[in-house]
Amino acid sequence: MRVYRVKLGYQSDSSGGFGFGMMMLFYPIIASIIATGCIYAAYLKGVFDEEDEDKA
Amino acid sequence: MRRMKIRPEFFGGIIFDPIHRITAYVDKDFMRRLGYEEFPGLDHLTAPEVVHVEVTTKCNLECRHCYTTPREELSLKQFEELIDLLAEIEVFQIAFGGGEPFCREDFLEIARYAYDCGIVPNVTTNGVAIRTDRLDIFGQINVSLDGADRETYLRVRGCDTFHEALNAIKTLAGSYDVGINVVVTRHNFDKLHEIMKLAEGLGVTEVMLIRLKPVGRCRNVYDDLKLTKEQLSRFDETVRSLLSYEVPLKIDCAFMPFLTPDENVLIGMQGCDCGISSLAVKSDGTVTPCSFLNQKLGFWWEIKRIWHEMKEYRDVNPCPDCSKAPVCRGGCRVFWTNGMDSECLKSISPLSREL
Repeated sequence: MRVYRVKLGYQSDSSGGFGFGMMMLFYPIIASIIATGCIYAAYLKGVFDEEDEDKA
Repeated sequence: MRRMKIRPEFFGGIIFDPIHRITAYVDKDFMRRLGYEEFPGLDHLTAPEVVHVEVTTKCNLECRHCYTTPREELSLKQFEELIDLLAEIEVFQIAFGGGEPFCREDFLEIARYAYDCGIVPNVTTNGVAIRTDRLDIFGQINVSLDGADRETYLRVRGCDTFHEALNAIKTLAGSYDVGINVVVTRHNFDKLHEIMKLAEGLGVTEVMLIRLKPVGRCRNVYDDLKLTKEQLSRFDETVRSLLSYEVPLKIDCAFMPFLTPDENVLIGMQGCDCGISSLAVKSDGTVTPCSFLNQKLGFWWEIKRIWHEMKEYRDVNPCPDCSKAPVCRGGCRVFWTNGMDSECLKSISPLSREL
């Protein structure tokens, strides 16, 4: 499983883009934490069935 | 209402978690783990992540570098119909702007409607007439502050409202997520550390550096305010020196030509995202690639069709001799001359403007 890209925060008008400042420097660590967090959040949301839940 | 959204895409999917303020692009294995088996046969996203919506062009200030031009306004009902459409295609965020959004009496109703439809509304404001209650619907409130002191702010904007903007940030930051938008000009470029220090003290969520663009009223003063060539050559090192502050720093994608392509920049950043992840709707309902680019693509009710037909914005192949091109994507289209950013320091276009 791969996390291609992570954007942190929200986008405001006039910005057009993004840029993660200092967070970029720690991307691999953050991505893995976020990936785990997303799976857990999905679990809480009830996306997983029972079998997947065990695997998670 | 803030809820997590999971959108299958051609590469896998996007997970938008508004509680933790995270948007993650994941692969198909990841999506399958979440129970998704089918993926769209497109070469682009099924819908924008964020749509920039100009709710009004009216404003209580007359900043000299403003990019807005006067336009008609959609009614509340029309904005609600637009938001219904954006909710239907699973847009994650709406970035409300103007003009000054709070100059429109029913602005909070519009933003509330987006919130109720499960879209995170964000807003950019000058902070001068902002109300301080009932703003908890917003994911983020960005206040424009182009200087850490009155003199710099006034020199950049031409409006003497530094203290009002600062007070708005101080008041709001205690209750909401507040960011600071800084339009970077030759007058505040060498004072960005002061802005970061101020932002750190105010406890804001982020500082966003925005490139000045010769659009709208700014056309008249662009040459007086734009960064000098010498400042542009120092942009990368200056931005990197700002990363030492505890406040997260965001950078307008229009600055991409001035950043060095090392791994820290390459990861997560790219040039112009018109048609890739964002789109804009003007107050009169016309759809444009972004807030600054006044290329009329159609009307708001055609937004689904428009999105899928933005191939020319997605498939750019600029600057064939530049190794950074795949990431930079030719810089900001507002500055494009012959398919490349005319202010890029590497630009070889004979039509490049003198910096």
